Amino acid sequence: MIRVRNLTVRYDSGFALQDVTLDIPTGQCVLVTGPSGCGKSTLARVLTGLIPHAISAQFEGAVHVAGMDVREHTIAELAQRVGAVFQNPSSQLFHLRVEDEVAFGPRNLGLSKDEVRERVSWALSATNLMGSMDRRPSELSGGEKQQVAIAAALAMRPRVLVLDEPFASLDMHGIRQVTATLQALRERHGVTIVLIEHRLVEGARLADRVLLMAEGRVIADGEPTAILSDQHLWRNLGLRRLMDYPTEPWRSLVIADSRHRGDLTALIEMRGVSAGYGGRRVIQDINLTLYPGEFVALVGDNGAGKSTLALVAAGLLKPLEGTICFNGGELKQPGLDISLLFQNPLDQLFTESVNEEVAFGPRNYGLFEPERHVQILAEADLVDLRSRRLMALSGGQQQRTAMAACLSLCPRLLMLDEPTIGQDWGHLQRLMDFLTTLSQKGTTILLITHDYKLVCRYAQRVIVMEEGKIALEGRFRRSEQEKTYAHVEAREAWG
Amino acid sequence: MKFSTRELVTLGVFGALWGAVELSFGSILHVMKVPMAGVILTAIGLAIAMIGRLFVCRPGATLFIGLIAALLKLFSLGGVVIWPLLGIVIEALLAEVVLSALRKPSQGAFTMAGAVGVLWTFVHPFVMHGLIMGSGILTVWLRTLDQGSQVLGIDPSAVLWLILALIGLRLGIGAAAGLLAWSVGRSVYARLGRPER
Amino acid sequence: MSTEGRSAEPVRRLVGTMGRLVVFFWSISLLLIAPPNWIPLAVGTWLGVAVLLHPAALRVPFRRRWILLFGFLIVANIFWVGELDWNLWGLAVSSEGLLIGLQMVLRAVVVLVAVEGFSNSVDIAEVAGLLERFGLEGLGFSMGVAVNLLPFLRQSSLNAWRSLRMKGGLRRQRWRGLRLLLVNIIGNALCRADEVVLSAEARAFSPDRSRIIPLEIGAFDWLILTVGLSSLLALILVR
Repeated sequence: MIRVRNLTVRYDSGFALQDVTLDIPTGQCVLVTGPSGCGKSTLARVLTGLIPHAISAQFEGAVHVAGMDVREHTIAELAQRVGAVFQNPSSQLFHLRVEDEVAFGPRNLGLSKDEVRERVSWALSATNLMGSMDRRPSELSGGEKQQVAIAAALAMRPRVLVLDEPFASLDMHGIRQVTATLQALRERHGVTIVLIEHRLVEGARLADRVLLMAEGRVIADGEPTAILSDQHLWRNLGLRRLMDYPTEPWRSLVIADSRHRGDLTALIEMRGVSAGYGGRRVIQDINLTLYPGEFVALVGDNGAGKSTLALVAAGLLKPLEGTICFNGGELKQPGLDISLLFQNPLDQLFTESVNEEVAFGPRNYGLFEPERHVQILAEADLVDLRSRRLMALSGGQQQRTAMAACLSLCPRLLMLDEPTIGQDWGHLQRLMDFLTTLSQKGTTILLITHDYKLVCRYAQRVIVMEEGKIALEGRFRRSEQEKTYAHVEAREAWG
Repeated sequence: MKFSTRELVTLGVFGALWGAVELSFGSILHVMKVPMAGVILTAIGLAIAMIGRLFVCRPGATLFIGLIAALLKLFSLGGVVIWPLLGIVIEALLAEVVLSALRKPSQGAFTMAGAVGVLWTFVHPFVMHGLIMGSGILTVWLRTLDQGSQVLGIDPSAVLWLILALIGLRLGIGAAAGLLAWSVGRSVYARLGRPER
Repeated sequence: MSTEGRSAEPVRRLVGTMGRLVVFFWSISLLLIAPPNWIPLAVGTWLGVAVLLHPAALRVPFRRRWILLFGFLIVANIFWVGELDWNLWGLAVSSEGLLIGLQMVLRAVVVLVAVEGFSNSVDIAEVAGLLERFGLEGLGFSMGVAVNLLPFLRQSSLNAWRSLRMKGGLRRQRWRGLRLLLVNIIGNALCRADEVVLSAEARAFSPDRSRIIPLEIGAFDWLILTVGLSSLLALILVR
């Protein structure tokens, strides 16, 4: 179904794929994974014809998908054989009704009304969305939106479906919905699936085969069990292994424990805090105390109120009820005492260069000190990048810059809202090591995450949120899975 | 007017930005009872549309952005906003006329387009009332003005000066919006690493 | 691939978008064409149609804002327009002014209800589709992009503003801060636009091939068009 021969793709910034050769037979589900920048997304773009038709890149080699040469056929022609689903569901929606959304592709192909209607029906039933036909895509959850995107791709009647990190912005419920849909497509309709993913547990459940990529090349290709059990390979690439994901609910992974060091006075104390938006309460009756130098993880499902809690703690959202006491008094200024790092670093980067960005906050507050500025740049490993334009930085570098800009104001509490999304383990590990050093120097860290491994490895205390309330507070319980992981790590460390 | 896919998406993004300003910032200004809230909203919206014009530098782009913002407002709030909606479309149309007439985007063209677009906020209530109630409303307004100045003992020429001051204020705010749009647009170009226009 | 699943056969409404559009223009034209003496009759006929088609919109003229304006119109007209030829509870008023005032109010009621009814009952995508038919090609697509990007843009803008607040807000560098905020919001939105373009192209979208969203035609639409046009024509002839 897919035949790639000596494929090399080069952007202005350098090689993305180098001499890739592979064959994927009809009906197979292939999981393509690898560290950030390994060329996975470029491969997806080639298979869908976006390279070379819509994205400018140098292209060498031969690629045939469902009997079509991607160089010779237009995107519209290829779209009838290859469906594409991307990472952000909202970037793939163009209509105000689910039915119109799914009909968009067939209408673009100039099909008759009856043919369009028939295809829409088929795609909606294949993705179990028949009941949502008249709903607005903007009203749907992330998982449902991604299913609509899959239905929209299916309505083109493709023989191959290429999905580029479809789970990246979804919670566990959304991932389960999408996985079930893909499973059904494969089993009932024999669609060939190319799944590009960082999240291996879900991908491995579907896949017949795993392609592991690094630096634009395929470095391992085989059955999931064989590839995923090669610990050395994953460790060398700085990738997560299967066991890095929770298989149990958070509640069962935490042992209740509200003890703390008696010699410390509270840094921030929230008492009976409720908050929300437009009259709707998102968090209720929150009682939480954080101490200096603690590394705390805040966990829970999407919509549990974690981000709202962080906004209230940072002084960016007024509570509807309750009191917040910072260091025995009131929180005077957001940013100076408490800082919050959002998920997308670009939301926090304002100026033209790294240097200016890190200096912007202190200058605005009239607190700029050249020595401190240089020290922060050095600590965040940004000295060599100080003159670089912010948009020219990689995701990891942007995140470091945003964090350095927060730290330049010397906050005593640093909160990070989902810093893990779209980052590979290598990047994350460096970030976490830096946060640990900060915590050891006295800065309190509150990490909002879904990431089991980060919580397990770094958090001294875990707070579990459910439906706007703190459900549990305590220490992480090492599960059987984690014990195995620790054992393997120890064995590797001893050589 | 036929735009490419990239241009249509870019216009959609700028329309969404103007729409978001109307829906979010507009409600805040309304709740806070800020004076001249409509003028402020128009100035910000037009600034966004003019920045959009820098990215889709073709006739009709500003009007297109205005239409999307207006439809978004209608979509989100329902029929009650039909009159402000018409305002948005006409403001965008006026800015479009100026920008299309002056052809090449420049600081001067943006300043003028902003001023002309915002000026509509002065005329808008009179035109809308005329549309709803017919031309007879003009007689009523003029008589009210006349009677009002007599009752308050104000010289009718003072009313004229007041009107001129209100017009001047709007022209100034619109011109500032044009200048801001020019400056921000160029900075966005720089941020994205694209060559400046 | 198999073709299972039930067919999404659309349910045809009695009055479709075309019918509602005809009623809207008919309402406005009726008032423009009808001679002043006929206005009460025209409004009466029209009220019957409005009750059938969009009864909820009839509440609009009863909003405080409009009631105050209508009251002002009648008072202003009876005192300022025409001769003061009538005695109302000891006050000299103009009967001509009262008539003109009432005509203005009736006209306003019709326009308000027609606009409210039309805009509440018609799908926004169809409005965009309608505008596309008048040369604004691609408006429906851009509109869809905008609607679906709105939640992202709102969140991203809010985060940018919150980040700026944490960096001292607009305190020392007021104008620079405001400019940087705008640059950040617009720049991030444009980054997202690149993804949208690729998604659209992967689904074979091209402005040259795209089809305008079809206008819904109800079972009675052609009848409404015929009756509407002939009634207006008859009115012109009588006049």
